[in-house]
Amino acid sequence: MHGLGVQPILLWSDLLIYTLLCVGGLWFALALRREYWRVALRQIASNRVAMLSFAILCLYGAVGFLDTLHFRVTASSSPTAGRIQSVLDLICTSLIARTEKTYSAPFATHLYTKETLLTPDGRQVRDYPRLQYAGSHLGESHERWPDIWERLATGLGWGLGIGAVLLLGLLGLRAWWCWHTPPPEPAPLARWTRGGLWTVGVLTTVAFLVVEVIVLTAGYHVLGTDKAGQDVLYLALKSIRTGVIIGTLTTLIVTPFALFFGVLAGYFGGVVDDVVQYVYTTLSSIPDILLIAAAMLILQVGLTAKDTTLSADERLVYLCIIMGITSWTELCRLLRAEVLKLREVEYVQAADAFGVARLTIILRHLVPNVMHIVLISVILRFSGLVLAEAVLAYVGIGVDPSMQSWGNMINQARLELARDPIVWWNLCAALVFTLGLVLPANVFGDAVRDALDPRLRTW
Amino acid sequence: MMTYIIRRCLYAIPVLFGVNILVFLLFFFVNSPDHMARAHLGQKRVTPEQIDAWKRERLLHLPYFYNAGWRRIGSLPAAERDNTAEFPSAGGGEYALVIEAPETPRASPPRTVRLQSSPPERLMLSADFDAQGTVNLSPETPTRRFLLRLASGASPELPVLRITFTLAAPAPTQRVLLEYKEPLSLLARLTRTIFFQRSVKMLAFQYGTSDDGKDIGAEIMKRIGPSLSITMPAFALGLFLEILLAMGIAVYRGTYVDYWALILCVLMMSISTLFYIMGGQLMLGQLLRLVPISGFDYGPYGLKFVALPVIIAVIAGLGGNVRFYRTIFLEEMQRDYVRTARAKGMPEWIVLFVHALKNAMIPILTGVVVTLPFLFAGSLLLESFFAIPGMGSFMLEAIQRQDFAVVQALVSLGSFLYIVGLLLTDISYTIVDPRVHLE
Repeated sequence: MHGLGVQPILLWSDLLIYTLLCVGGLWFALALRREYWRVALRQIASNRVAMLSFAILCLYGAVGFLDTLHFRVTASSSPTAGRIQSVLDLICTSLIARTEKTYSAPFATHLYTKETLLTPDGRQVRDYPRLQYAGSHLGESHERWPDIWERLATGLGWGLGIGAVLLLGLLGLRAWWCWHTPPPEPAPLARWTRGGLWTVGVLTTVAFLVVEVIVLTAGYHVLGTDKAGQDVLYLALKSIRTGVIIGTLTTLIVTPFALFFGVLAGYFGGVVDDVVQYVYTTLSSIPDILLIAAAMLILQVGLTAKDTTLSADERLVYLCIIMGITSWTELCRLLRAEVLKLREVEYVQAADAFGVARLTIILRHLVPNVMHIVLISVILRFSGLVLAEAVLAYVGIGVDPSMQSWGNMINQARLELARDPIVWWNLCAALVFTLGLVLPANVFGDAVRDALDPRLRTW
Repeated sequence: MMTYIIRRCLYAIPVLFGVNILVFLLFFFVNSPDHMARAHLGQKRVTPEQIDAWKRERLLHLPYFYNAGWRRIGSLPAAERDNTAEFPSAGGGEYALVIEAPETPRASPPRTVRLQSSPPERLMLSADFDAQGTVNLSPETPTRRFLLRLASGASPELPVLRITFTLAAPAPTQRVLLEYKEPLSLLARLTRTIFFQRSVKMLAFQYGTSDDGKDIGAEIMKRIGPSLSITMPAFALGLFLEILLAMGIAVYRGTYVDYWALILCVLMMSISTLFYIMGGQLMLGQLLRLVPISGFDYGPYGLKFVALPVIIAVIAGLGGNVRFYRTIFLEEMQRDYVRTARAKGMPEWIVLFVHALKNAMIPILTGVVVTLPFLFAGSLLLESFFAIPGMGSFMLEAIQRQDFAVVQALVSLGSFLYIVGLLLTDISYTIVDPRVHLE
């Protein structure tokens, strides 16, 4: 790697994400060995809306993952030498490079603010200047719509092409399936084909949208530019990692504690139960936002006194931990209640009667049987946390202001809406991107809950 | 019933106390008062005297939990090369000589401190001092405390203590302090502490003063009114609309109306409250100019300011709650008594709006009661966007000004409200649902 002048970088949050992926993968592999999880998985897979949501979530996850692979260019000849970059930055190099002067609307060819310009004959006029990069391929003509339509058509062509390839692949797979399956099994085949067509449709649509965005981005700022002239699409893409990290790591950092204390309290009862109950009642009785605010303020004061600063990444991890502390009590309560029930179940009683060690009972009989609650709570909390990030950013106790996040985008948009004429695209981009993550997360979360434990249904 | 309520109240006390200890640890242990003073006064060129004054103003000069009675009677700054000062003593008793550690031990020279008493025979020094009453300290020595004693003598005039501080080179942040141990009653020892003054008093709603010198308790009372003028109508209107809509959807259960209504609910849940606020302000306030964008006024003129925040609060909460109440209605509609009522030939609307609604109100009301006390806490986002001088904006201002006293007071108040909410929920269960027997 050193020969290339590239040095991989592992930030704290990266490390946590990799840990999360490893643990998640391991758990998935273990879970698949049990019939209960396989049945649940099949039920989720047969729910089309849920699978569509899952596809969108995967797309977000992929962007977030690309943004997690960090590296630093060490070759001093490179213009980005010494700066920590991610693979996503590498992919978006052209987007980063095409930074305009200031605000420009989506698909605009001119700036959003008037400037004093010099005409060729030497006169000074106040007008909207041409953008430096967006629409520059149009030359002198200002006719951008034909060009945009042309690009849209190109994207459509690509989308159709990808769809056709996928369809061919599906047909091939089906033929292969027919060839290798003995004849008297038509029913699953039909279901399989319908499911396959649906999958191809979803994948094609997603691919089509991605291709359209790529094709249009090559010539325009699809979502406009912000005050510093940066492409809003790039900022929104960079925000995905922040949102996903806050949505997932927050619950996962504290899940081991919730699991430990919940199971302990439920299984042993008595004084242990009283103490654990007391601790979580106390913690949950402090309003979340105040606890987070207090913790963030204290961090700031502590850092000022010690004359150090936290990097944006460390602050993100710290924020995740604080938000986790405010949210583990709910999970702990649920787990305790479930273990309380499980303790009286015959197989646990039988294990007890046979003299099986308590630790073994906990690890073999209790923990695996409450894991579904952990999964459900992680998924259901996700959307709430993503939305909370925006509120925290507004209050001024969220992620670092230098870090791209939807909360920071919305926070800036507050002032932009007061401008005349208003700058709306920053807010809209943040809205569309959060909605695109939170809505599928809600739908998928409901599907997972229904499949794993319909009793927890709250609607 | 009564005994149950009393027991629940008693259980609330340790929880409240626990919150107080937790908040205290969070605020004063993670950062020492010195840290806070430095963060407030700025890093550079702040003298120890300024820090002491800052702490004294906020009662932060006291010990954390137990006040042994140590009171400072003299302070000798080490600004000069050689320093000498004389302090009149407070009579016989225990004294302490505190020698503060230098800020940067490496660059600091060794120090010598000499202590003398003007009738010398009454002074009793520990073994750390030599025969002349001198103690030598290396630059690395941390802040040290030497105990000494003045024997009570027969003469009425008080002895004078004389401190000589010698430094190889000036180092402006070190001081030598002289402290006297005052005899205090047990009550005073426990109450003259940071914990009591800044935490325990909050249990009795004594919130003290904020950093800009305002009485926090009075400020809270002033701000509850504007907060309630938003939260109360929003709560009542919201609950009414949600129940109505949920019933409407439940009537059409299993049809496309139900399906699309649910999708709309999930969609509404997935949009951040910030967007509702910004969108509402933009559409109704800025573009259509139906209502003022922000502001507040008391009395009937305030209505136009309150309208938009209330509407937004209702809309923002609609999705999730309608979905939740719909489930409750659907559950009720499958009960036997509904079937019986229908079999008797009751009109469908009576079955729904009388039989089912009455029973569905039990889980709805008990779920709502826990939020009732929080109506006093106001809404942070709405109030700051609409410039309403309520509790929410108070909180936001305190956070942004880093006013620890106010944040601590609001945390204390917030947890109190939460516990009251839990208590009300328990009580309302027994009142609304006669089947519930609480032990």
